[in-house]
Amino acid sequence: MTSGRMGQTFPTLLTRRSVLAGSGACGLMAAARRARAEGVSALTIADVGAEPSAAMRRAFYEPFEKETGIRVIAVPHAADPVTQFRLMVETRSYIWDLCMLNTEHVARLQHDGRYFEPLHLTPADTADLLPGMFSDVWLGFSVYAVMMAWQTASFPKGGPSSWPEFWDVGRFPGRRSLCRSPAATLELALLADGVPPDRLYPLDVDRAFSSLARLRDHVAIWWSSGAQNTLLLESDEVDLSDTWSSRAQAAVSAGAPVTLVWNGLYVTDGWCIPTGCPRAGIARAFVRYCARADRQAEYARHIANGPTNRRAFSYLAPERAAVLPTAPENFKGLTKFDAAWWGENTGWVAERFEEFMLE
Amino acid sequence: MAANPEMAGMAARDTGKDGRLAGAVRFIRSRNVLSALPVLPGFLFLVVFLVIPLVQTVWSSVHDPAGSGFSFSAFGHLFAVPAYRGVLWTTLSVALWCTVLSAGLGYPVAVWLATLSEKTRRRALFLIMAPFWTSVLVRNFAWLILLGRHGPVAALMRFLNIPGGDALLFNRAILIIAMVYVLLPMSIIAMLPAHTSISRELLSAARTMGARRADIFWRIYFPLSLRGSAAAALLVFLTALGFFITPTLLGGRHDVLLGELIILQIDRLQNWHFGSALAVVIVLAGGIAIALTDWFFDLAGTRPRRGSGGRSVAVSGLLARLSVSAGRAVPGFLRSGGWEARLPGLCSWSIIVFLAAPLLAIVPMAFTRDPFLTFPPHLGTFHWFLQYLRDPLWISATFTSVRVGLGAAALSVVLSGLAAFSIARADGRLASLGILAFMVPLAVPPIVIALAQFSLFARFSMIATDSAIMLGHTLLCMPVVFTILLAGFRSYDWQLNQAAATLGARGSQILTRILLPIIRPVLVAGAVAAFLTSFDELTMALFLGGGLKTTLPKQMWDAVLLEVSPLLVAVSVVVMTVVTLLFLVMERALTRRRAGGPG
Repeated sequence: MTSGRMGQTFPTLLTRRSVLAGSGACGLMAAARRARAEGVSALTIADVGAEPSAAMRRAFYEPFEKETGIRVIAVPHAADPVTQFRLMVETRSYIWDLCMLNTEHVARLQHDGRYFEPLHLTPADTADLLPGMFSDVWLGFSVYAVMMAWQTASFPKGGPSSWPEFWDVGRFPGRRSLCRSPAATLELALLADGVPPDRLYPLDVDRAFSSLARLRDHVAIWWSSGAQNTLLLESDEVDLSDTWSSRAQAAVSAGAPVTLVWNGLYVTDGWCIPTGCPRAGIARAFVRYCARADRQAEYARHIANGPTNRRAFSYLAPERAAVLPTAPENFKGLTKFDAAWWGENTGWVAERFEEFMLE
Repeated sequence: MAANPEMAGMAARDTGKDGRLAGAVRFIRSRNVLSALPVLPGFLFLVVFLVIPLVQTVWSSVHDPAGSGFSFSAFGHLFAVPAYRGVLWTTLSVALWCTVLSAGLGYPVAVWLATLSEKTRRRALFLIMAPFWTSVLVRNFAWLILLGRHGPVAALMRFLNIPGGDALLFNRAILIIAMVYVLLPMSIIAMLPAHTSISRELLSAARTMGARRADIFWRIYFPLSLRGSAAAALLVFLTALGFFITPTLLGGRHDVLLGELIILQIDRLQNWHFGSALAVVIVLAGGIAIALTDWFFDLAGTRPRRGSGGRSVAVSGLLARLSVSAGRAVPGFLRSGGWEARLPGLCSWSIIVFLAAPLLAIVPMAFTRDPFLTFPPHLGTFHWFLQYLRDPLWISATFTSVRVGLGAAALSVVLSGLAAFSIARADGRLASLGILAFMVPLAVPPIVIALAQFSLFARFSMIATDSAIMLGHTLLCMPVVFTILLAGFRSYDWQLNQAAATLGARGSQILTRILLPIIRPVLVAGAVAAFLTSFDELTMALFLGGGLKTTLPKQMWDAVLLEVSPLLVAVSVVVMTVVTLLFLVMERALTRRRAGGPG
């Protein structure tokens, strides 16, 4: 049930770098040669589509095609790809060679059985990754935050800077919106109730709901999709809301006068290979390729998601780093979203959340 | 032989849909087997892709995967948890509200449309159908923008000093309005034939004989239009039961419908047991609605008329008495002249404005220079259209949609065409039952069909293939195509075939030289209608798609979940244009037939 495991660090930087530069690149070329010899000419990758997919095309897919000669076909998967992924493995119809899954998806799939091909990552591949950003079957490459945003104009004297303040409707009056899903929302409710971030899990569900109950009638809009959240912020439909970092950043870059508060949780998207995938060899090479610092930096230039490779920041301008969740300054306000807990508890908590909403 | 239809009729009354299917089976067996043979392929298709999957769904709803075999625990759970009871109640009440409003608003429009000339009617219909042509997603996001607290409606309300302009969204009322917006055109289209088929001479005869206007309306027009209008209302109710996109985006905290709950259970929690139970509940609710409507209005027309003519006539008699005693509560539109005559027209035009206005607001947003959707937009760029044309994903999705649409159109025209061909020449109760069998896909909300077919296709590793979506769409297209083709074959003069045979034409010659050329415009119209149904369909694509290539509505859905950019509106405008052109093709085909064909 581990979605992340601490990476072992090599004793000296020099060894690590030389391993990366030498055998890493050689490994990639060798894997590509083997794949071509087996008649594999393309990889099919299921990602989340839209803007992130465009960023991945420029940072990962196209350079990978150039270096290996293996074509990358990207297709968008469903908003919640777990059902599709399960079905694909169970029916052994490998329409995808790789799938972009977040830690919660991975936890839910691992809860149900064996769906993933091991990645065979070497310590060298993962030496520079932040803690918890990979496991034996999953490698994270894109971090987003569940955080707070408010309309700058609605709070001329400064808006809330923490979740207890977000809950304080007397001190910070305004139209609020929250995500209509228990995952992450319950965590925010606990933070608002004064639970310290390092004591969040296992979630005290009763306490979370009673905290949420205090705010419930003050929430005007329960948003249900990232796009809706962006639209609400862009069109000034709400004064303050929880949000996803890259979506909020998109609103800000589009010119919406929104202030972002780096306080909340972080979730990591990464790659998984379905069990029994006939092109697993070259898919593994692709996963290792996406762990590279230069590729992750390029990705973070096109979309405001945080790289998992710390060295990526050495390729990025400080202004760009400032809007990324994994930049040290921002990252310290964020707590890891415990996907494993949700993998075990999603069913009954989701049901209780529905009941709570309809009360 | 005489007992057979009687029994079939009884079965239909007792067990509803299944009984009707059984009746249709008997229909096929009892009649001249050869003439019923063409019905078989379509019928088998219905069995394989609708009946068996539905049975499978019922099975998984009463079969606990964890426990020991048979159990009604899922249904018990549904009724034990107050929240779910609430959802059930909300779904029924929202669907009822939508039905009442769509039928109530649609009725005067249908009355008005029936009085128009063929040409004017077609133009008015085109405007009424406009909301149908826009992507369901774009439509919903348009509401978010137009009714937002900084939107044009709120601004107008502020200007007029009406309070509440900042809280138009996310409540029961706006949910129902947004649903009626989609259901109203459907209601009008479905009830129109019942209105146009009322003979005008009948009304003038009544006038000549001195009937008062109230009597003419309530005792003649209303009863004659009642059955068709009730069927249209039923269709609206059945469709409303399965809504899930609009409530997700526009409803408030309390406005959760069963369709959303199904998506949550299947897509998010992988709880097939409970999800199937919810689907069964929707089907049951629909079945009860069908049975009630049939009991009250005798939808199929299969029951012998008794005494005064049944319940519905009694109702209209009562209404006539009420309206006469109410004096001036008289619809005056059946007589020419006078201000009252303009009332339904005015009423209809305001409804048309209600239907067209949001679309007129949407289209300019495709040409905006802003990076996000705003109203009013700053016009002046084709950037979003170029982005669509340049993006291989969007283009591939468009081609997939075209392919799937063509496949579904071809298959449904063949299957429904063969059935319509033989049913058109049959008459009596058995033919009615045959017709009903082909209408069954309309009685099950698409979300339930999609859910049921999911397990069928999963067993054959067909999920995420174009074929699965195509077959799913074919099922949805069949009733539409069947209705169009049946009307076509019914108006065909079968004596032409006999005449040709007498003159020595062989069967194949009659088919290729006489029947097909005459019937061709109807076939074209049926194919285009099927293509349109498939081209804009999202639910099936959502469940059964998700493979290498997605259809256009699915691609739009995926995009909508992440970001709403003017690109989406641009795509929607392209789709609207394509659909409009096809619609014109279909209309032309039908007009030419009316002008040139027999009947």
